[in-house]
Amino acid sequence: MNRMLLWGVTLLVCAFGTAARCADDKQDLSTHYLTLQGSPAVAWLLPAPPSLGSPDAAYDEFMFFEGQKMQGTKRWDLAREQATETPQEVHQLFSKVLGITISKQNTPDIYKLLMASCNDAIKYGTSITKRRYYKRRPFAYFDKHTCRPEEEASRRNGGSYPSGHTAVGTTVGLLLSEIAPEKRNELMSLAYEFGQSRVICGYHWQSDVDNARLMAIYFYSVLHGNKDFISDLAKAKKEYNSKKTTP
Amino acid sequence: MKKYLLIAFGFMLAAGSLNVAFGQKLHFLTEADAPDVNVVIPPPPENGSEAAKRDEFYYYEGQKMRDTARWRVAIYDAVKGNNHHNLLTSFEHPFGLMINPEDTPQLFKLIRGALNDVETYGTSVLKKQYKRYRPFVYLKQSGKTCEPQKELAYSVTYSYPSAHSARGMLTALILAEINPQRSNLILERGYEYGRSRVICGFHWQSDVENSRLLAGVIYSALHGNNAFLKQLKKAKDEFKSLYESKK
Repeated sequence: MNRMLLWGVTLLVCAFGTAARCADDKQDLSTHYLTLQGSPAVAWLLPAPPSLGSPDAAYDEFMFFEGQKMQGTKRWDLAREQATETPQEVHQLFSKVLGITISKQNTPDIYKLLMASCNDAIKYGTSITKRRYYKRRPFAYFDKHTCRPEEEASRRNGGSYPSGHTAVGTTVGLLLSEIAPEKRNELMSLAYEFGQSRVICGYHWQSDVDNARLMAIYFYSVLHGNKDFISDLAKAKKEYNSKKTTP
Repeated sequence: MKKYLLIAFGFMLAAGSLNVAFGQKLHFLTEADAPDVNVVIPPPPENGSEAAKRDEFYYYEGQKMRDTARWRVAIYDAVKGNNHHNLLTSFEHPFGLMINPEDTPQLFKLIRGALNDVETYGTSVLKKQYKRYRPFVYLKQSGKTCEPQKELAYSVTYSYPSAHSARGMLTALILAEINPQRSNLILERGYEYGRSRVICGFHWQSDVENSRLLAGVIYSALHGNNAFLKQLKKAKDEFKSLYESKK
């Protein structure tokens, strides 16, 4: 669907007083299990990213140009599709693999678990780490275009390390794998490719993506030490088992 | 008849506790619920590739640390010892307890089984699949590792991925869940334990990085396993009683 049209419709809907839905979305983006104090201090735990132009940045640079070479291919199109801009789009991608539609309406418990966990990983994880390093993204560094050019303007100035998309994709993959273990292989493969798409797209260096995966794993572990997370996880498992079609 | 049954029962009990003490066969996962690591873990870099060049860069960075304090930590981390002695001892400050079969039997059993799982269903499978040579072998750097006396034995085992690193990271993920308040130090120790392998010259950087990913995947799989969850509860209760009393 055309992005301009989508934005137009959303604005219209908000303007005509279904403010409840907008407030809902805003509220969903601020649910949490952890606090700053209870989160792993990943801005300091993760290794520093390779400095631009240094010897250990050579592979990052190589991978960017490998991605650029893929323009016009199916993998480029997939990278564009996976360059999601909303949680709902991420859920849509993973729904195809999971076999049930993940949404607030259809799977409220799974939705709640995914949202709060991802909110933790982003607010207390990637956002803080991005502010520490403020690293330039590859497309901006090389002055090239990405697989989704309309998003470039807002991302030109920094925040490359680590990748928020990859943190979200890995978190969702791990959580859904725990809920639906029989789908683990496909879910984790999707999560992996979802991260690689950021590199192919040109929005992230390979090291941004690798360390976002590690960061997500750290958060995933600490979340398991949280009572509310554990209780919501049990509800999500129950919800999946009641909705799945194959025995 | 009764006498023989009693003796047999006694023998089984002894064998059971021996099993815990030596832990050779203690597992939580089975073939049925283990992930297919060939699908979810990427292959190692090909010889001569840009990624392999990156690996070489990190090998020589490790060599630069020869005879530093960090080199000596790497030597300590390289030694397995009985019951993963060096690994578990290194978590004493980060976790806040010394984990061993005598003082913390439940925690020890939990870790022991999980580490057997990550090897049997993880590192062993991948090592056999890829048969990658270790850096000191491939680069013809014999005598340059942190444990030259072990090089002969290591030269016939495979590099990708690193079993030490997978064990170190998985231990950290489990302990961080049990004591989330100290997750920073716990996760850092797990990370550094893996880095020691690169410094030592026994593993490539990519061996260690993907071991951490493997640890995350196995950690996720364990949380879908009832035997693990049962033991986790026992370990958490043990932790509560020991840790609270020593605080």
